[in-house]
Amino acid sequence: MHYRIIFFFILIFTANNVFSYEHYITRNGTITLNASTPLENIDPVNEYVSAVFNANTGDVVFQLKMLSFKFKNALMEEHFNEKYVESEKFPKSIFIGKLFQGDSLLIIQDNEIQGPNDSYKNFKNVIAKGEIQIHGVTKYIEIPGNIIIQKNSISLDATFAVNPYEYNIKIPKIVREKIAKQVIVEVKMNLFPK
Amino acid sequence: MKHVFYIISFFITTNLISQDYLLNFIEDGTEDNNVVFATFKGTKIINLQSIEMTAKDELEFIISHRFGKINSGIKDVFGLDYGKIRMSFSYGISDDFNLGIARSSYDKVIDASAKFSIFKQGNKSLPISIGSYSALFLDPAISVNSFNHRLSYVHQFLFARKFNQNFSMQLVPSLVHYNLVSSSLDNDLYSLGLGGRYKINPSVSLNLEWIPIVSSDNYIESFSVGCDIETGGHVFQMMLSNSTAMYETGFISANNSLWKDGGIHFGFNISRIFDL
Repeated sequence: MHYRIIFFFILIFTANNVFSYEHYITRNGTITLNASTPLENIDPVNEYVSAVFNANTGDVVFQLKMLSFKFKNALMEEHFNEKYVESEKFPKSIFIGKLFQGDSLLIIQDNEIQGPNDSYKNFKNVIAKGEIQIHGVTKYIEIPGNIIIQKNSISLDATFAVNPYEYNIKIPKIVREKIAKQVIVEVKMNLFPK
Repeated sequence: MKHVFYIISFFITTNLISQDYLLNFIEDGTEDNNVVFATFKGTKIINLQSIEMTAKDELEFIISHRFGKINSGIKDVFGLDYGKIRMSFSYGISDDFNLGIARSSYDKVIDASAKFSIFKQGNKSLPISIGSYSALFLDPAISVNSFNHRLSYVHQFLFARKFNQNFSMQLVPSLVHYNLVSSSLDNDLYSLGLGGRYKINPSVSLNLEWIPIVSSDNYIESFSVGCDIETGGHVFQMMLSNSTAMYETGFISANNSLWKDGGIHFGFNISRIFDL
């Protein structure tokens, strides 16, 4: 009897280990914002975005520090952090969700990762569904994107638009003409097995 | 039966964990420096230099006005008929080193300055930011033969702390040196300036500045209250002060009007940043 229980535990633990690549992770993904107008170029880049993807469950998490957005103009960077996103009060933005392919969760099998040769690639259109938190405001969002499954990494890119007002980010009238109404968010990253 | 229970409980526990567990993978280790920013809105608190620097490759132009005494009455529109002007340029050689030049209509003084940011609050968990400001003043109005006698100097340390998002304070010990003074005064003069700001909304802050002289009783202390309004690229500072001069040797040690007598001057600084 005891042996059987032990056997089942061993089975369970080994079963988990059968999926050799469970978590894919990065700490230096890139997110570019674009709020440019004819009057002003506003295109900060954050090159320290963290992300984790669980290939067995489709769970995905993105996290970044607002202070890591680098602007070409130092004053603009200061105003972004001090007046608009209030980085001291709300230092991080987070997305927690799941990756879907059509209506079903995106779960990557081992044989999809280890293709027949080194240049193996597998493209997929995916949708990330989940909750995004910016400036202390949490909202449900669906983000369409693409992933490329390669032999030893998963590349991921997505583009979506965010309206600052929906996240309680107020832009004063005097600069309203200079900042785009919709901020385009571009996500690009390579995740590697943990 | 028992082992079935074990298996079931295992699956239940795994399913209870939400995606939040993934945060643990990225949470650790990446606690980088939390250097504070925007301790003050502008590079000046009111008259005193603030800890803020002009950024690298940027040119900051500050145009300042101080008007006549408010107690001069309606005939002079409470001082607005008499204005003194100072134009100053400061350039960011790096984010931590600025050079500046300026010309004031008050006594026609020309000055050149160097400003350093030495430590930043939050870097290696330091509780304060430290900077320094040194300037050389040429007073061409002094009618002496020796060029040296027209010069005076200021050396300042800037100790600033941002207590929270809205409230910042700064301590400014200064050494003022005149190459030429009247026989009753010392060439060196020490003062301890105190400045603070409180942000009342993201674009507006209230500022206060007091510069007592430590080493002598022969001078009138400068006291100013002001308000910063920041628009994209401009900082507009309005103030009431008993100082008319807008350069250090002037507003530290050459004041001649008192608040209690209504010797208050209205004025403003407008700062504009140019990207070079």
